Amino acid sequence: MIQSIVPPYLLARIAQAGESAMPRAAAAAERALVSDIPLRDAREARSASPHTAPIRAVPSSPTAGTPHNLTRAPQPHRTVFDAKNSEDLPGTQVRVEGGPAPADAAANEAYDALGATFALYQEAFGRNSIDDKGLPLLATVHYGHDYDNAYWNGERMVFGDGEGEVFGRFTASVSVIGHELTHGVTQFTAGLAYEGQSGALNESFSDVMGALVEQHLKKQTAADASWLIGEGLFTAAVKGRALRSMLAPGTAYDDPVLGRDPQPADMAHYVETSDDNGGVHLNSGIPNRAFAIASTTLGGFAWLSAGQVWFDTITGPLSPTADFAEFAAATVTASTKRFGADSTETSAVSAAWAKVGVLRGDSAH
Amino acid sequence: MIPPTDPQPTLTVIVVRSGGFAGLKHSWQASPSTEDESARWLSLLGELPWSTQAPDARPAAIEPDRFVYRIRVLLNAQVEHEATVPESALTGPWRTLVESVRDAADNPTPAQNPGTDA
Repeated sequence: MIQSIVPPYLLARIAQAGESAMPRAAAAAERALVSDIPLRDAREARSASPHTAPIRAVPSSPTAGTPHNLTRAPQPHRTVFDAKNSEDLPGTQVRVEGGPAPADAAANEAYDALGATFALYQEAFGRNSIDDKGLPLLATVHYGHDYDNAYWNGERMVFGDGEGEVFGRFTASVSVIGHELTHGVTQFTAGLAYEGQSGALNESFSDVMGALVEQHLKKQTAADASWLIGEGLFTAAVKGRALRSMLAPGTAYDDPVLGRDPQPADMAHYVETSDDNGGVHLNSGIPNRAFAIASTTLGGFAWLSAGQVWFDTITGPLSPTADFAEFAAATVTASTKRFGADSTETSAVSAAWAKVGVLRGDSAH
Repeated sequence: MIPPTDPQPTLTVIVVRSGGFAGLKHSWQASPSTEDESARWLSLLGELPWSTQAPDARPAAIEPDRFVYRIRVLLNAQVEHEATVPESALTGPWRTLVESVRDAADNPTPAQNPGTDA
């Protein structure tokens, strides 16, 4: 489902020209049209929503009018390794791009979710992999023994199997894999420092894109989405739906052993702590909720509205040490640039930040 | 310095693990149960570079979502040592200590979450 950079109307004309006129181009155009269906569905759903807005133009190729020069959209280059429950990276190669699937659910889940993440960035935002230069996507599964975690090490994603009592394997949720790859995107763009508020923004942007990878894959609108991060990671023994709730931080789980989801939902409950690099996984609940509120207010597919604004923000001018207020102001600026100052998008983004107590209510205009 | 000749020092080590993708906090607390174990722990504690706090740690920004360990050593209820060690630096004696405490703690006791949103 890779977005062609050739406009759909042109692809249709080429395909209609038939095999006798331009056989290779017609076949290529047909393939591209088929692969482009999800994005066009997304646009149609977006335009059908009450909040109509300019849609980001898909970049067109200067050679688009030359059928024999049809440019192929960027493709992912995925490789999955198996650490075989050691902590030695990268491990043994078990799946390569286009290669056969091994009999290993974790390896195949990682491979598929890498593809889903690549697809979101490419189709929704025109970004070619995490560095926008086609960086190969690397993942290692079965890391460590009973390892209850997944992380990005600057070069690859690493996934544990969980210990089986609280957590199962960390590849089970597409949102987790989108989250980890997005740490790479942040590393290559804003470079948000992983400490305090900038660290919580780093975490939040990973949750935002992790959620969008899942929504894009499932073709879910903001109203249909769960807004949960890590759904399916907990075992059945845990009383909880997921690790985090973007729409209702603090409600993802409430378990006799684990306790209650500690995420704050607004600035009045901001957590000051020296643990977890200054609570980066706790206070991310605040910007997470701002994004979810803006998205559900606007309706339709979130990657076309608030998602585009957040992406523009992380790839635009932003301090590596940005706090919540700087980031919020930058989203308003990005929305104004993308959709206009008086747009429903800019209004919804401002109002969402006011709702979580980051921007003043009277600035929500 | 921990006086190894103290006849019966009450030694307690508390490990708090925070961070990770899940952001769940866990703590483990243990004391050596035998004289031999006590001697082994004291020796281990003496090997650790408490003052430098793991200088070989990779910057946290490079490895988001990894765990962070806060280790406190209490001797007769007084804090003797304290260090914060990123997961990437939890090697050698640091790792041995944390694994010893985890093994010794019969049941992990989840720490109270700070600032739980009501």
